[in-house]
Amino acid sequence: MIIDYNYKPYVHIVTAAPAATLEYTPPFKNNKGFIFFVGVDNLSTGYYPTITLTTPDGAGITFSSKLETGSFGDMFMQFKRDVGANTSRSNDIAMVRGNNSFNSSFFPFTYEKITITADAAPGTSWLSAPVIITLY
Amino acid sequence: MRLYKKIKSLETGIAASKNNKGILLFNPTETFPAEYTVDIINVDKTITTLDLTLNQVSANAVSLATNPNYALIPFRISSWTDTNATGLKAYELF
Repeated sequence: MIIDYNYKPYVHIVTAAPAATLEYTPPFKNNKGFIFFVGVDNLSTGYYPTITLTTPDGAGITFSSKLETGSFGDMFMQFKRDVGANTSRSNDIAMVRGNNSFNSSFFPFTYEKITITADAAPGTSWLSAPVIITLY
Repeated sequence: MRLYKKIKSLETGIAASKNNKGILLFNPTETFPAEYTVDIINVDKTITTLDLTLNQVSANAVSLATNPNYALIPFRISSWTDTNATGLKAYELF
């Protein structure tokens, strides 16, 4: 498990339509990282914004969140207990984040600013706007 | 990480314990995603409500990556709501 429950969160929900570049600066200093996620529905093609972090020494780190289609409408650690036709898996409980999408959404170091650039305008498939949870 | 040591059922719409350290949610249905909200207590004691979705159980192993039915939210919460009354189960963690 990556996220320790000893983190205290500060939740910021991006309210403006993320069809352009947005900037966010956390309200308190000395954060320990952040989680970024956005909700899409099962059938959408997803939303893959580019995130650029500014670290305290001024360095910029850029990554594409690559949030999986449908898989991050849920949150944080996700587990699957499969049933039905696949009875051989009936007792399986596994982490379900794929393609590093969970890892790329969690940054365990202090940041000063996040810049979010959408790759496309959001569609009707959105379940929720982008959320930044700063960890303290 | 540190292990959670205690788990306690928490009904939808009921105030959570003051000393909880997160919440575990489970969607037991095979048909419907569960829509729910969680009230997360921020570091400055304000509360933010997040609208979330937890997918259902699937009989298809291929869907393992897209149909999770457990979610762990590792932050202190004040309450949660089963928005579409899917029968979502939730447990406080200590």
